[in-house]
Amino acid sequence: MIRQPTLVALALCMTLGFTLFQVKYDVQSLEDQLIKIDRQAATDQEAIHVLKAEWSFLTKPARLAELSDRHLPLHPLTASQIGGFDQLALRADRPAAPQIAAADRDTPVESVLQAMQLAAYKPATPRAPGAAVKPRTVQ
Amino acid sequence: MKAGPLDGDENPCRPRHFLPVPAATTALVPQARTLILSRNRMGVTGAAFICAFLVIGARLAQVTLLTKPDAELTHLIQPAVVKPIDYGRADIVDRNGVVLATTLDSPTLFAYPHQITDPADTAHKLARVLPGTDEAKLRTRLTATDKKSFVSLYHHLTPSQQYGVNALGIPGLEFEPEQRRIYPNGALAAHVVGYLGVTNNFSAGLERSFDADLGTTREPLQLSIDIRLQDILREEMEKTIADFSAVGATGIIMNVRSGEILSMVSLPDFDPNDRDNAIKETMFNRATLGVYEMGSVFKIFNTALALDSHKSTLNSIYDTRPITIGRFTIHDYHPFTRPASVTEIFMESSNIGSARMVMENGPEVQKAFLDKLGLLRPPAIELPEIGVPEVPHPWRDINAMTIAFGHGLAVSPLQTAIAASAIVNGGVLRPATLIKHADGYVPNGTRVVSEHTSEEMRKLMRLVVTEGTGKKADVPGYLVGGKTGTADKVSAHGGYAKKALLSSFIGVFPMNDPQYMVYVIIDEPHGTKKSYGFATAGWTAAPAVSRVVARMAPLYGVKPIEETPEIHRAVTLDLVGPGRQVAEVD
Repeated sequence: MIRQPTLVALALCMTLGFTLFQVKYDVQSLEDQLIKIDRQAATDQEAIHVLKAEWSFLTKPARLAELSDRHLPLHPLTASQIGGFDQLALRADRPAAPQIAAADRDTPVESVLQAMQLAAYKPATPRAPGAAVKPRTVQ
Repeated sequence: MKAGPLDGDENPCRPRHFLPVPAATTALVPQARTLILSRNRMGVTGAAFICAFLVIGARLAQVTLLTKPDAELTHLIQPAVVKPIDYGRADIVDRNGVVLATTLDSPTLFAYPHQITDPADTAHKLARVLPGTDEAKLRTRLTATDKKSFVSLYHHLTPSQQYGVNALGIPGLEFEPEQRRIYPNGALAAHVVGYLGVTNNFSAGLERSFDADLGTTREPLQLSIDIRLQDILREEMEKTIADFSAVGATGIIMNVRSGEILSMVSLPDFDPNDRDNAIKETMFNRATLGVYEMGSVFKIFNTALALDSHKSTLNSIYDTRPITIGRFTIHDYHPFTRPASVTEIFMESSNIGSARMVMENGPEVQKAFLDKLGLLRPPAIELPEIGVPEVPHPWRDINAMTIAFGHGLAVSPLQTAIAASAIVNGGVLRPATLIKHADGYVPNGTRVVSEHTSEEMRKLMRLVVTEGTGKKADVPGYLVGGKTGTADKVSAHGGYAKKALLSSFIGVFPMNDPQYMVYVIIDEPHGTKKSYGFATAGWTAAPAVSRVVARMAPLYGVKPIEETPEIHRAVTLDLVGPGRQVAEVD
């Protein structure tokens, strides 16, 4: 007659054994996967390396210029085509649209402009003429 | 009597506590003695086993939970890791990461002839895959009647060719792995990047100076060079060479604030991928290795010295009649008929005026100043090809006078660019570099002229473009300033060759707050009908600079400025006196 502790021990033993083998096989298959992925990564890295060189070769500025000349109606940018927001007319300078005028009937345009002027005028160090036209670089 | 659950049970194997407790008075029967003995033995054995298991358990816990894993052992139990391919040498990339030099697998194809079953068919198939091969020659090699075990068929296969050969599936063909340095942009940055030779002594450019670093680190070497600017500068210079049938040209684009060199071109150039067929002269880097008498661009330094030493002001007046010292006479290309101010002397590039200006300070001070600008020593730059300036010795008055307008002292274009950038950037000389700085990093420099002198020089240089000899360098909106320089080249027989000129232009923009310098030197340009026979800087180098600036400024986000009268006054000077029409020549 088998008693309870023996049964428990036996079950525990079997479970442990089974789990151990399970884990072992899991690890093994994961390792196999890892190697496979590593190998794939190495192949991909190699391909990227070659493709980078090819990309650099295919995007040579002279080649791009030639392709652009042949296929695109674009020309190099000139200074006259570049503008800033300050060159746009102020909204207040434009003739007021009727809807806005209706909504803001109580506020005369004159007082809005004065408020803007006050907000803009903050006496600070006088700007040198050079600094006033300092160009902004975007790189 | 106290007894176990089953009274009178005679089973000797029943555990002790189940046994009837014998009466103290009862004498031990022999069976009971044996029973006790065997029980004791079992107890001892059991204890020994428990001890053993406890020791094993403790040790297991110690090894698995408490001990740090031994590196060597961990390595052993790690799964085999596939290492990414190591090319043995890091890439060189431009400031935007475009590959300038890289190492690629480039195997050699060879064959074991005795394994090739059908040489004729193999040769036929291979000739289609490999360009430039002769089918008949391949066939003879593959047939190989001699005892050779293998023959090499093709060197440096590209990846696609290798794939093509593999796709043929012919047994008996093998690849010998080999690596090759590739320069995808070809000649575009050839003089900067250089090339990799058989040994370091046969290498050139940055490939040579960074040989050790490229070999040990795997991080790409990022240059300050911008390949787009390289292309723009090269194209515009090639155009100028063609227009004026010049023999060569060199150009530098530099960030005058940080000292980074954005572009460096020397023409004629060569393809580093095809070095064996390159003409030796084309490998010469004119920008750093060549030393030339720069001509009137030196008036930038001469005028800066005069102003900075407070010996002259912009309005100081100098005699402009020819100077004769011994057998030398200093002339002007377009002579003044009256004394001229410093402003006019600079604007119209008067040699006589410049010579008179320097004599206020004398040769010693001039020499010290030029030395401070780094013009008398080889410049510090990462390239191995560095020209040593030709400095006159002794440095007499006559040397001082000729050096004032750029003759008698030969320096490399790079040195000139570094020194000129110090004059315009606020007066601080910073080391030039071909390696990209971290964003916003500005290296420490030494002050060479005052802030005020620098500002006056900027205004003078703007005046040269608006009113003086460099009108063709202007680009509307970008406030280009600069200085022309036309030098007579030293002829092979000594003395100056009148027909051989070195025309250069140092352009800086935008002049209200200089950021970039474009420096172009044209070697031996010849006048054309379009330039009315002139080959001077104002007609050759200045237009080239203008074209480069026009293409480069939008690329670098320099915001165009509409030159209103106020701005014009702020960045340039009013001419004192009547002023006069200036010929567009140097």
